[in-house]
Amino acid sequence: MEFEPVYIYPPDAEPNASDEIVLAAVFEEEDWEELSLQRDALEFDSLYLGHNEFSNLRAKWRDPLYLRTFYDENIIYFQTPFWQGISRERFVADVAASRPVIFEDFTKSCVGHNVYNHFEPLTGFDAEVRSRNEREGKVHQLVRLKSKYGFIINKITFRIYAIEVDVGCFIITGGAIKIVKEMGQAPNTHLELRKINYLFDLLSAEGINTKEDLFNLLS
Amino acid sequence: MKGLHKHSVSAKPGSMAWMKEDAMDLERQEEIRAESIIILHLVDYMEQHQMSQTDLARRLNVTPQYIHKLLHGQDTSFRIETAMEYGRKLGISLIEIPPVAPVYTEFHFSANGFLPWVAPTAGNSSAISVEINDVKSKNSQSWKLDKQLAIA
Repeated sequence: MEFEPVYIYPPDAEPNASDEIVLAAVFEEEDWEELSLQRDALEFDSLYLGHNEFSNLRAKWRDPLYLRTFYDENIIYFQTPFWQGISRERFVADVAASRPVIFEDFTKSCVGHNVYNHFEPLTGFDAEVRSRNEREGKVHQLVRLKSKYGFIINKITFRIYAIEVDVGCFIITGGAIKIVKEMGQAPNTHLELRKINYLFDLLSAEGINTKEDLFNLLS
Repeated sequence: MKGLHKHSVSAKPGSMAWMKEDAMDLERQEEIRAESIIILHLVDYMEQHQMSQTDLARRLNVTPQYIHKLLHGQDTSFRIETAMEYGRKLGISLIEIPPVAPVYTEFHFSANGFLPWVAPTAGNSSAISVEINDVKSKNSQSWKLDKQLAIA
């Protein structure tokens, strides 16, 4: 597992000396194997393997072949009244065309130094931890986060998942097109849940709860 | 090795280039939509004819690596000319060109910008054809019908 910065402020700061930093996880072959991914999964494709999850997310959401397969594999959900029977062609084209709008929102949060508010806690448990972190004098604890973006036929469909390591320090673990309510229900969101928990456990096992802990370990 | 690597945060040059790329893509949402649909048609064609990416590459006289990137949406310079050429080679229509005299606009587009539309009549239709051919021959790289093109 490695990390690459996707946003640093100030822009010329070293990662460990930045005021605000958004990192993205790079899952390597052994991480995917640990997560029991099949060798024919997109994550092992040469266009994706070794790239950070933020970069892969941007690539996936404009990847017609991936989106076409995704639609076919989840057709039972798309044919429900909730998705209004959206066609494969429209789904692929809408996702690809929405992508720059989705990331424009994220850009605005970064340049507006508002990444903290861009994300919300992933679960009720994470909300409690975040609330505790906000109280003065408490040692920061890791929080799992999600952000909601974009629309396809009036559904807020796109998610980015991250871990808040500290105030102003985030690690993106991936993202998904959310097609059903519970993350565990659909294979893509289930994988994202496992990915965020996998990194959460790695960080916890190393006793990392703050930005200082993180960079002390890594440097 | 499983776990967090030492020295595993690297600030790659251009790691924030995505902001600029996405800002540019915002300006070409319609083109991205069109590219996606064209690629879907190519994939449908491959499926119907039970072709692999290597088979398609051979038919189009390009490398399998290029086809792999193209189908995954990572050839960001995919052009209308290329789509038309591929359609011709495969014997399918990837782009549908609307009628020459659209009733909804008073302008048509050429490499030199918008030109006043002249309704075709028996007397001037050949003149229009000559004008477009001239534009193509002068500057075939930039000749785009752009938004007058409807996707098949």
